Amino acid sequence: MNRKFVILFIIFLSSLVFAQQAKLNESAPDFKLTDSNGSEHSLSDFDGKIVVLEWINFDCPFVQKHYDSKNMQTLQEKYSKEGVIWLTICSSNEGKQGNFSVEEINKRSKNHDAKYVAYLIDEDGKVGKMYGAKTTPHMYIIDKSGMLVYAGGIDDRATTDVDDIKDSKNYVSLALDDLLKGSKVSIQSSTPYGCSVKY
Amino acid sequence: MIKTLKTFFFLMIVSTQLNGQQLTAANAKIVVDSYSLEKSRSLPIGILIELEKDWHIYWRNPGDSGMPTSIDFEMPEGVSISEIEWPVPKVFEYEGLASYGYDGQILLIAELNVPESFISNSITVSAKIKSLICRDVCIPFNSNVSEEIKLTNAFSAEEEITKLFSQTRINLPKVKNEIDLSIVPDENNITIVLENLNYDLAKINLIYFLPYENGIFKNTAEQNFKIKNQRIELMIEYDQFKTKDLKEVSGILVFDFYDANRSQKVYEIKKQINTNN
Repeated sequence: MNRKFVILFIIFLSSLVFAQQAKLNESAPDFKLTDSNGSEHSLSDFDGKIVVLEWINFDCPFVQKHYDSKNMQTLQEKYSKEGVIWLTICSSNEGKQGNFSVEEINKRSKNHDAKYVAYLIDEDGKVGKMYGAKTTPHMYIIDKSGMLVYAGGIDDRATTDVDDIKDSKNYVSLALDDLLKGSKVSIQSSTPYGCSVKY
Repeated sequence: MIKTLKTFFFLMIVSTQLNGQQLTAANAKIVVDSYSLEKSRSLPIGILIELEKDWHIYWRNPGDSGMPTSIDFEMPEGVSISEIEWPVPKVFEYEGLASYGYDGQILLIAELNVPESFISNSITVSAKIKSLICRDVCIPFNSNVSEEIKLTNAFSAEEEITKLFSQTRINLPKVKNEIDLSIVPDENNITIVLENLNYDLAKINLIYFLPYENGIFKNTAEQNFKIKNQRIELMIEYDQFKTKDLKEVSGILVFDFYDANRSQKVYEIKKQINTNN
């Protein structure tokens, strides 16, 4: 009887963890995912670091806007040099757009010269739903204390035009610059834009 | 030389076919309804967008994903155009995400205002359409269209076009000043309180609010409401990452009825949030 109760209690707790919703200015929910090279990563592996979560789908025209122009890779490289951990996550379900074999993921990433730390595969969408990821791209920033301090769009121009990048306000840069100089993030959320995450 | 020409023509044909395949998912054109310049200097004009099966295009607020459809008109100096009137959008919900838009055929209506000095001329109106169309995948749909409009005293459009304009007008949100409406904010939601409605409230199947501004409210047509006597309370949750605090709420309120026609009544609302509570 006691054993059954303990098992049920553990299942209940696990469901709470997966149901945990990310909220601004609260601890970012931990997760563990496998990357495109077969290695596991947890968010908690990067305690004490600034972490960026970037939701991706290589075939989405909004993601292509930022990758074909090298905008995303430039951000990845610039801030990685400052010690920021950049994690790219794909929550596309099997058979849906953006869901690729690990070989294809690595090939596309190499072609784009992507500079993320890891491309994490979230095929069942649990982490995407935990974070309320709606679009590709959808960006999140976690500060050194593990608090979620930004959630939203990459910038303020909700279009697929590469030409709109240069005049746009890049919320990710602004937030990371705030954090790196020891300030609070001044713009903590913006409307995310992109293709829907293909859960 | 002949071989080069053959290769060139082959490549041209292939590229046309590929472009054609992408473009056939949607097409757009400018249409004009019947008018009489003697009666009014306003000409009813519209952008008619036709989508292939399973594709949709977005409302002024696309919802959780997509991109607002935008139309930039160009016309001769002195001629002006009103804001577009947006028909009530459909709600496409899947896996907890909701988008607002249209499928099939959609007509976006505006009014072209022509001063008297143009009475004997024709004018060319152009429109740049920037949008996204989606199915299981999304592609940009950008189209430049133009139409030469001959300005005669009276013009009769084809029956099909006139029918389209009148069906579209029926499906535009109405402004209803006589609803008693107040907005009560809470930490995680707002409640729209409606009183003195002249409907049989027992026949209401669904009520939902679609905001004009994105990023504030959770996007969904499944919104909780309570009906007591002739009073409705509709609760709308804030988005998980609400981008700002609003002083005013604007958007459309949709009532779906259980009646024989499964009719809808849709109202545009604009209301200050009551901060006295």
